[in-house]
Amino acid sequence: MPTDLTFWVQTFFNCLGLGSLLLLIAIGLNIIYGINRIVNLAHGSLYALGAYFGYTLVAKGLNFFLALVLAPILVFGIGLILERSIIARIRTRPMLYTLILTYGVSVLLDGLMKYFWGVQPRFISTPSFLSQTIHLGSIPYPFYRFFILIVTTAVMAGLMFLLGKTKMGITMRAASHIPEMVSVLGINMNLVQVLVFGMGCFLAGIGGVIAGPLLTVYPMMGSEMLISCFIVLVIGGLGSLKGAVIAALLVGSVQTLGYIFITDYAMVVVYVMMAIILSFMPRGILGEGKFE
Amino acid sequence: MKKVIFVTFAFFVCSLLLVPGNGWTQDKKPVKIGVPVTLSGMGAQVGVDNRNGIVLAAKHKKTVLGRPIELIIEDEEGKPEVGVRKAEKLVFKDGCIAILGVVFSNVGLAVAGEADKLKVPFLTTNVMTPKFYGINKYVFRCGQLADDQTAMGHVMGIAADPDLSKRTYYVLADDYAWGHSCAESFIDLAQKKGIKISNPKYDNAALTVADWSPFISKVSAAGVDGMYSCLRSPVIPRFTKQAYEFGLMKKIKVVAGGSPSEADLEAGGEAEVGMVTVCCYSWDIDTPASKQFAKAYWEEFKAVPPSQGAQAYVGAMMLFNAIEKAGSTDADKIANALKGATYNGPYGQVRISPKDNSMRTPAVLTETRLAPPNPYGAKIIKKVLVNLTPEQLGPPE
Amino acid sequence: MSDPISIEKITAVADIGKFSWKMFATIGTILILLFLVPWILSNRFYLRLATEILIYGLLAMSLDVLLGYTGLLSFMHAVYMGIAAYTVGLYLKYVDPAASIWLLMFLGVGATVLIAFPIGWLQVRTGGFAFALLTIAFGMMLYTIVWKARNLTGGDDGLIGIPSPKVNLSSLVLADCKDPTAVYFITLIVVILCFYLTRRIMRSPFGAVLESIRENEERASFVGIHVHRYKLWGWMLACALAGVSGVLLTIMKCSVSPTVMDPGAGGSVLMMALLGGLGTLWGPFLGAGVFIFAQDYLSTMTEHWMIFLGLFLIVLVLFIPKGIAGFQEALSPKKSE
Repeated sequence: MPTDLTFWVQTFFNCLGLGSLLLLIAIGLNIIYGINRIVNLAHGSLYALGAYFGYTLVAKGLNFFLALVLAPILVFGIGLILERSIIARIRTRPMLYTLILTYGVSVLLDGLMKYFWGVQPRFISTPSFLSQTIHLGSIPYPFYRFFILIVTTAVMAGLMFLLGKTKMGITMRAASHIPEMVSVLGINMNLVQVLVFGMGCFLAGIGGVIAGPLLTVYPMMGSEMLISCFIVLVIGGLGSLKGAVIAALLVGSVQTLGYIFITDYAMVVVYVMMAIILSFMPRGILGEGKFE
Repeated sequence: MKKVIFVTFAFFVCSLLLVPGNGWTQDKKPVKIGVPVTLSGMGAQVGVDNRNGIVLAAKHKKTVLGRPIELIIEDEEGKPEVGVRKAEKLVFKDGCIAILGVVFSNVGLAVAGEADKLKVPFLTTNVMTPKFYGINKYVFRCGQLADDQTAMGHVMGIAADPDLSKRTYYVLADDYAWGHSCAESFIDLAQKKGIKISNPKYDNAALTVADWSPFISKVSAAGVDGMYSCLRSPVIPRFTKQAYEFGLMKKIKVVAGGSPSEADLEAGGEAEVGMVTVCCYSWDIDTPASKQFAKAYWEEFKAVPPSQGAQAYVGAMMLFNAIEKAGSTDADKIANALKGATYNGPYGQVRISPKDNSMRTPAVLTETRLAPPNPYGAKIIKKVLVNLTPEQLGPPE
Repeated sequence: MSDPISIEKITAVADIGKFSWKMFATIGTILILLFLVPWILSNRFYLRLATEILIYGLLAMSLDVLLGYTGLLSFMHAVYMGIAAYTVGLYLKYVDPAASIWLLMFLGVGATVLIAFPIGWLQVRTGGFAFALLTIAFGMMLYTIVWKARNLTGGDDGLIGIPSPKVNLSSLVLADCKDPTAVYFITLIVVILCFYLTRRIMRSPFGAVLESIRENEERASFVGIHVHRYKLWGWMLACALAGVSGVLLTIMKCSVSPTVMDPGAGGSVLMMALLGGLGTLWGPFLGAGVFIFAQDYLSTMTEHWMIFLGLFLIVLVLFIPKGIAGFQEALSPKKSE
């Protein structure tokens, strides 16, 4: 077992890095479930779509940071279209329908991505200062992973502000608890639902553009990420922001450490953890069905 | 309600009746060859390369037994039961007289298991598992190097190079049958030749790993200066790019047991430079046959001519020529014609050994470099370092 | 207060509804057609497809028992088919290639039930979405174990070349499973038996209790029903039936691979059950038929079959939500948590 400082410092940041990436990708799913009570199985595909849009924008010459803003907006647009045309219709029906429907949407999106972009893997090229190796003392570490941390922190801070302090955010949270009261107060519930869904898609898009330069961009990337997102959602507690943060860091750390010490069975440990938490704390670590 | 049931069921039955019921329609004209390859999922790029190679071969050969060649291409999705189902469809429904292609070993094994029921020759252009040697009288392998040949090629290449032979290698393998097979054959041979291995029990990486940082840190901490990768091709650019950003690629030399495909190298760009790998074909090979193939491939598909495309091309040609030689579409005659068959192609003479129905082929040890100006728009080239003969690669007959 | 409805009543004579000529004619025609299939479809490929549809129809029906009747959602139900498939495959390949089909059925279903019991016991303490996610967790654990135990199961290479058993009645050889027609008939008979048995069970007081739990767990418990116990029984029945389908699968294919129990398979069987219509038991067979047929047909037609599959599913949910069979009282809002 390696015992030198370099290894442990790198591992610490690896855990943090994976955790924050998972959080960034999963938070959109969490919000859509927390407020709209919709389990969006297409979330993985929307994340992949964000990555593909980011790739094309950058490949066409757009600055990476502009693409980071524009691609999620495009995904937001697609999300709006999806919501209005398809998802709104089954809002009143039981969850099972939502599951098949969003699954169908994800298959459709994956197929479309394969059609338009082909099966080759791609990378999003980033400005060179982002992909450099920086040194903490004598320990080399990719700067990009710190960048991920920065972006995730910014996004989470933005979300907490939006949901905690702005009128729109408070309305959204209230709408998830007591929809009848909120609509009686004259607020358009439909609009709230649509905006929340769009926001979730926007976040998925950001996740995609951020993950793009690190992992490969290819049609299956969505389905691979989806199960991790669900684990974070479940462990953190459905609908809890703080819970999601803890869960993502937990899953990220367990996965990273697992790959180091038990390599092949790392994911099994994650599943066992999920099973234990679900069996004894079915609402997750912090979730109480409320949105915090 | 009952009406609904009746109508639905009637519809279902009628649609079944509409399909040809009395065996397959015997088209006298084209010779049909079934091509199941992986066109979706992780192996899709390899499947596309294989398919393209086969399609190109059919285009060049044009006719066999005086009849046009008709390829029926199916997506076996990398799943054994889909592969078997497609193989059965191709043989029993479409009337194909041979099966050509198949990308993954598990699909290949499943289809080979059905060979006695299918009763047609099955020639795979990509399956690498050693379990294929002599598995069935109808099953042949010609295309991608088998695991043991790959290991031999790499070990010989490393031993022959003054720089590579001094390094200590860390072995990292994808956690599935091919990864294990690749790693084990390499470690076994390497230790016999005195190549230093840092972890003889080799490390496994689950197929779902997207973030390689824990492994990168481990390799770093192991203090090695070389790495033998048994990672599948689509994963390699991801690993090397992440490792590059950790500054690892400057310290270690990666030998890729699983040869990265040209498309994947292009995706990875500069981070892919400096990898050593053995494959049958690189467009760097400087022979007229090689240049001709590369040009034809480029013209047809507008993609960098890939190793796997050339390998599949050779396999397909072998099959077409064997049908020609057998003079009929009879399975046993074709199988006999395939034993000992030879073909002179883009990378030299390839022969199918009658002993185990598997090919003996030349190969090249290459290193990825930044490509000089070339007609394919490629950024990376697999520069040929050493030529390996079929005798060197084995297995012995 | 003692439990007013006891489990022993499973074997009570079930009421099959009013006899009517129309019903008799419908069922009769269907049965006759099913038995004539090998001659209608003399092409070997289609015969195999029909056998596959029957097997997956049985699996989808078992999921209907779990979801449509007991109200428990499972995303990886195919895992229980896989356990039986592997048990039978391993036994035939390594222990006794000449094993009788009765023994194999017993072993396969037995192994499934043995593994399903502790998992079910843990899972039924929760319900709704939590239950569904636990099925994923345990399902993935089992799948990973099968995948990793390379030396035993062959890992992702799977087991190939499994010998075909013979069907024996004392010393009389009824059929040899090398013959696809024989396999089809064995499958058909087993499936019809299972269907009939399950239908009787579901129509008995036991089935009524399951449905009451599905409708409203709280109310059922107020009436004195041991909810967890019945949920567990429902789960066990569903897994046992899945086990039967697993045994049939190995016999038909003569090979097993981990893909029969991977998340994709779990999702597919759920699609089949939903497509066909929950709460009917026979709906899932139609669902399996349409799904397998469509998937095979689509992937032959175009490389981009995913686009069509996605559209198909979307259209299905939006316009034919109750599945082909049309009953949908199974889906109560209770499930969201």
